[in-house]
Amino acid sequence: MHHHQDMLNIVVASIHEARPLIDHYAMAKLQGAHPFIIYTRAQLTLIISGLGKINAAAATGYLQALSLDKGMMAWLNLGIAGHRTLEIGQGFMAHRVRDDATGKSYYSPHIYPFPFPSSDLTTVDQVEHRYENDGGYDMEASAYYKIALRSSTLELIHCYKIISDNRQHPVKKMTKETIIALINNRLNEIANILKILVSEVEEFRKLDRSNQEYHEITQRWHFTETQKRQLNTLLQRGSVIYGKSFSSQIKYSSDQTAKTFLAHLKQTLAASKWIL
Amino acid sequence: MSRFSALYVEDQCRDFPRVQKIIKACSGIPVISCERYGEVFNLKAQNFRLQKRQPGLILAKKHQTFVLAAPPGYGFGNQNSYYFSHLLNCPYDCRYCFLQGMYRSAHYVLFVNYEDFENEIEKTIQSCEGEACYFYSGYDSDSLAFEQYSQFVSYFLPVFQRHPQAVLELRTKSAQIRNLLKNDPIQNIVTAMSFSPEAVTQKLEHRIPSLSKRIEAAKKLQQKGWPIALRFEPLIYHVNYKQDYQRLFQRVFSELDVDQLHSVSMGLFRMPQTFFKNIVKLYPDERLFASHYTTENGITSYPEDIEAEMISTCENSILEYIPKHIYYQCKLDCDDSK
Ligand code: SF4
Repeated sequence: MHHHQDMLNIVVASIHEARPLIDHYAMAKLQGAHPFIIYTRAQLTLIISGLGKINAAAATGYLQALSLDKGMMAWLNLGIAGHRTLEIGQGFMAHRVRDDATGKSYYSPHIYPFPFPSSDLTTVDQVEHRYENDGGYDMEASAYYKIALRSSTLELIHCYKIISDNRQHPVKKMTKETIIALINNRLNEIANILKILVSEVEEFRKLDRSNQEYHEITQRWHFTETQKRQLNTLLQRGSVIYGKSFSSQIKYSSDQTAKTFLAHLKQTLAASKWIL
Repeated sequence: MSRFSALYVEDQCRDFPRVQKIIKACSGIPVISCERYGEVFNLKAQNFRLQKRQPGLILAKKHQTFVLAAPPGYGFGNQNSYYFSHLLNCPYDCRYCFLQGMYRSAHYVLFVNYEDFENEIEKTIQSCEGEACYFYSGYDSDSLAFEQYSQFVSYFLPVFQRHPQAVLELRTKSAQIRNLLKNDPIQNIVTAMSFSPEAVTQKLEHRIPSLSKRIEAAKKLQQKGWPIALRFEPLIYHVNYKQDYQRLFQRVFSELDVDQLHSVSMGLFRMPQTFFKNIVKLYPDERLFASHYTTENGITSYPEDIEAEMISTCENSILEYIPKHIYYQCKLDCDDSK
């Protein structure tokens, strides 16, 4: 099953688009009964969604359910796409993903220095032959965004596409080999994206360290949900103020209740010095 | 290379000459179209802290509420006090700033229809029927930090020059005074510079220019005859605060001409609890927020005894340098903490 080291969920429409990654990272198929084919390795989990928005949304939702208790996750939608102007083989990051049917757009901020172009991407319901908008075309990204946003944050949700057709060379039936070659040629770029996103999640999760004492204390007395939240906040403040020595500051005595324990802890923190 | 990660441009203002100029000045970064700025700025699932690393600039058109009544207790004016926000968010990163708790996004929004702001400001001035009135800019941002791109000062100087009874406060932590210095001083345009002790700046006011640079900028403006105001807001409590603020006052007032100062104010750290909670969530590792604050009527602040001690200590100290009539305490129920 999923492990706490899981950090990045990758949604890919077809097995051919996924194959180069599966091979490169020596990913293994996730055992058990699942409605989608899933591969994992270390921090990465990859799902084959199938074509189109409904499939993409369902697969994203399924991965989301699998990873809900793992903390913040990064997301990447990866695959081939058409583009009005960019050359075939070129990779790009979507900076605006627009759903053609609803007009709704998603804008992933550019906080990482990715060394390749970014572009608009329109998610369409039917294969695009006219290339009317200047930008890329795919059939999954907007649905993927809509769902991934329910559990992650926009900065960690990205969409990287490799151009398979453009106005000069419109869509035609693609062989498995062509698709694999397109992705393979950009493996370095993809590896770079994965590395950046994984380290981003690592940083993010460091902030969210749950306190070691929390578990022990909540075993000692009965805490209501509100008291648990208070406890969590106080412990967090305590560890910021006292660092590692905080655990030695916490005094337990047998005549305490959850309420008096919280009051005491609050007092201890209130007496701490105001340091910048 | 531009300081923005990307430009987001509302379709409706793409052809504005002001927008075209900014696009030109920011070459090399993606220019991304959007229908309404809220699509980019207001989405819930965004993280201010992550975005703050490299925000984009959104160019948008504002449609309503150009000028608002200033909250009671804000600023130095009378009941005819107003504020306007042509810019949301700011390039600096002060950890106590309420903007982090108010907005989901750290992108900057520049409302480019200055003409509409101007019309509303004119109307408001007229509604005051010749009485003095006060306009604060930089409530949701820093008034001067983006001058290079916004040319906000260049646009609004002549507007206020026409109305000597209307005072404009430019609130800033920047040293971007070039566009002011290019012009002759206008007595009803006050540049209000915020200062904190160096220890506070070092720990909490990230990316702002050095104290020396900012004092230098204030001096230059003063020498040219521009009115300068000084803001010590929010006062930040810490173990060495007495010495640190004393040292700051000593330095600032020895370098500036006290007789020429428009006003000097101090204010306490206050913030709506909802913003405070949002900020703590973003910065659970921040020492500033780990200490013991109190919350009353939805406003988070220092405990009362600390507030009282700090304000009286700092007032006593500051009044050694300045006459009482130019001093006021900013008593906003909900301090803007900036
Ligand atoms: S306090 Fe002022 S200068 Fe600092 S980040 Fe906020 S708006 Fe900018």
